[in-house]
Amino acid sequence: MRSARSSQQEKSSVYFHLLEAFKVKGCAVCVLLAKAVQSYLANLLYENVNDVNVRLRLRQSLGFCRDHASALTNSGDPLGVAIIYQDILQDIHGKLPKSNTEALSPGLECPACTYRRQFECMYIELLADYLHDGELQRALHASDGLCLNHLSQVVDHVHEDGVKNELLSLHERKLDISRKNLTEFLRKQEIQFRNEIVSSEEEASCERAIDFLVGKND
Amino acid sequence: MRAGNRLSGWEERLIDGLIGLVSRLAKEPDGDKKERTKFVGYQDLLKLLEKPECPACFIVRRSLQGFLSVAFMEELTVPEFREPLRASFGCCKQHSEYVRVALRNRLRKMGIAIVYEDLLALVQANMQAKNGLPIVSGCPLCRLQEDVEAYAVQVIADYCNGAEFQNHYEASSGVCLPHLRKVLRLLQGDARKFFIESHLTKLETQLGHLQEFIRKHDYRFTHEKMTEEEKTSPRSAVRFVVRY
Repeated sequence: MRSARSSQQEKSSVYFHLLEAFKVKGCAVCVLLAKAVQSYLANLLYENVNDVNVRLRLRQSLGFCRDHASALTNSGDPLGVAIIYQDILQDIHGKLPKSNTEALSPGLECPACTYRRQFECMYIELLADYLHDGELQRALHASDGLCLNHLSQVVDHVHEDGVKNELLSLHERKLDISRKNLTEFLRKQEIQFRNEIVSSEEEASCERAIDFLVGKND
Repeated sequence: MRAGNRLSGWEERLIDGLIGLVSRLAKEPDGDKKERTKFVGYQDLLKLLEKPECPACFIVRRSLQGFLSVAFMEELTVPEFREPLRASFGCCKQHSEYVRVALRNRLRKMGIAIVYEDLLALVQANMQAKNGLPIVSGCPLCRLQEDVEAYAVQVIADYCNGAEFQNHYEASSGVCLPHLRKVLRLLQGDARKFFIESHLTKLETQLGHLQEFIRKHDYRFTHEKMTEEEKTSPRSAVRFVVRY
């Protein structure tokens, strides 16, 4: 994987996707994963709804997990959703009279979660590999930084202490800013400071704190 | 607190009671379980069955949302609320969605800002102490959800023997699949048979709606009008399987 990634062609796709994702609000890895899951679901609904193997896999996992099922129903293709879930309900209907509650539990993980995890590993490894790359560093510094979960995963993949410490101190500075925004938001709620305008960063500070701790939804 | 949600009187009362129940569960997780099962009354359950939602999902969702709304305004200084949140570095991803919903209210937003500023400070302190990065785990709301869920499922299992309940249940959309599994684990004999047969009929109806939804997307039948049940059938099918 590493040797393939070092080729210019690999760098030009995934690496540049990461650079672009750092320009978007929130954790770049979360942004890319949301995109990957969206395109996986769109592709499934557009091309693979009638694929026998896909159907079998979906029967075993009883479709998708809660989050990805919700993303699927909001994808704007109710016909595809109807075809997939008709098959799953038929399967449940067949198993229900046997009264075995285990048979009514998902036997496999949600396929979108599996797909997401593969991409997550790829982005984390790539980020860890290119952390000393100047362009990526500049993009990371200018961004909102990573969420706690992805920061922790990247840190686990970095072997050089210098790079690791730099990444952590960058996120400490970002945490300082987030905390200042929260404190300012709170101060401006007090009656004697109510006339002061709450900036958009301060207004969004709670949401951003949640995003940092648990990441963004797909 | 819930102005604008247009709740009827019994719902207000039920939800207030559920919030009380969750608050007690949060403070004394090993409290008197017998007392808890009496809480949602038989008539409440019959009324919940008139809703187009799994009654267990309703009890879980509304009680946790209500608990968080109250907690972020009134329980900020209560150690039983703050300490588990600090220990887990906040709620998990699923329950953070409840916090995001609570953010829409200005007063709750202040409480959330206080709690999350403290959580960020805690993460920062961990980073500075070179203790490694903390991971959000052991969400206290997950534990509460498990307790409330077990309670809701037990209530359904306790009341499911009578003919009146069974008539109401047959006319309702029933429980979702995750809760059906839990109810079936608690039941034996006729009550279990009733639940299975009732859900077989409900599944046949749902499958019929899905089939019509698919058929009416065929260009030869697009002129045929869809019923409301057919239109919402894909979403209802997903809701039955995963609850949300």
